Amino acid sequence: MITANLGVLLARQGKRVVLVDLDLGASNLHTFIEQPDTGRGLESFLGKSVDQFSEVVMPTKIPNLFFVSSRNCLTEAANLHTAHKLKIIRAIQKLDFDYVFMDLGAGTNFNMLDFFLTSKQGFFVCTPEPTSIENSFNFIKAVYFRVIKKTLKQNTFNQVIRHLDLSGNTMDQSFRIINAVTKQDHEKGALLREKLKGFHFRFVVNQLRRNDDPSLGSKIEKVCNRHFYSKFTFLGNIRFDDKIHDSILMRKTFITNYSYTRSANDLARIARSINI
Amino acid sequence: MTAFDDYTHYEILDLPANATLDDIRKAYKENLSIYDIDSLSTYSLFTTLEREKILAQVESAFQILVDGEKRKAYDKLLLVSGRLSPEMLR
Repeated sequence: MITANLGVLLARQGKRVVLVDLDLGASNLHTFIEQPDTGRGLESFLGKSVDQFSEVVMPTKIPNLFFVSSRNCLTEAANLHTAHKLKIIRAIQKLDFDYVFMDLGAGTNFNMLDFFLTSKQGFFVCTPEPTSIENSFNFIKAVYFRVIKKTLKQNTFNQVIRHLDLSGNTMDQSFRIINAVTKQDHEKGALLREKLKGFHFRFVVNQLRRNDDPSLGSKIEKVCNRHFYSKFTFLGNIRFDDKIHDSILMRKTFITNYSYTRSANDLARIARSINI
Repeated sequence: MTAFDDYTHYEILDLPANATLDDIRKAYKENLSIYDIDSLSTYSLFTTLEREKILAQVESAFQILVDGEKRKAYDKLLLVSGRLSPEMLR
């Protein structure tokens, strides 16, 4: 919902935007932007029925907004082969748009993390519930772990973790690895820290209800900026609104049908903060 | 990185070095609420041990900065170590 509406808002501001539905096996982004099945999507690119990725970048009814569908991908598409994943990532990196939004599903599987790591400007969404916030922290930890694993060679990684207690899912797991690497090879440790510092996580708190703490996002931002290496920016709250539910039931784009609502204003404010 | 190991007391409370007593008390309260065991923003981020360590550091920072004499002595230490410049205290 958020990807679709931010895409529409940025396109309305004159930016060329493409939305890529990478929630493989569970794609539904097309419904949020009222995009009909064009018969062309990611499956055409992976199945080689088209030569270029640009051939599956389809226009939408919103000027400046383009869309890559995965609605016709196999049900098992989430378990993407590495070669296919790399093919998609390389193709996306070549896209010439002002904004490329990759809509990812929830979770911390390798494919999801690698898609997320395609950019250094990742977004995540949480709701003001402990379970959702916990998932967000788990996601950040998983991103860190993935970056470390990808940066270090397998042998080095195995050698480093051999003497470490990495049980559980504690916050300092990645930091313990980085400290151990630094002890062995100062430059490599510094490289890992620099890589993680280079990431800019942005996030929104969605479905904020009347009794929820509106400063929750700012608190999370503060904590993350203090205790992780990367930069974190809280973009704002999106207030809970039954109209969002209504728009989904009608399979209509929320922002175009309910632009007068407070939630639509929240989304517009977030879009303006991105478009700078 | 998990706690505030390399942070000054000012950094722990997220305050400038010329913060007023009122600022210090406000920041202390805010930090206590952020790192409280029931805090929605951190309850799932830290282990009990990590949280205890952080809260102890917040407490220690507050006890020093809220006491005029202790703060002066601490500022001197920061000035000597180069982590603070005289302009920052104005």
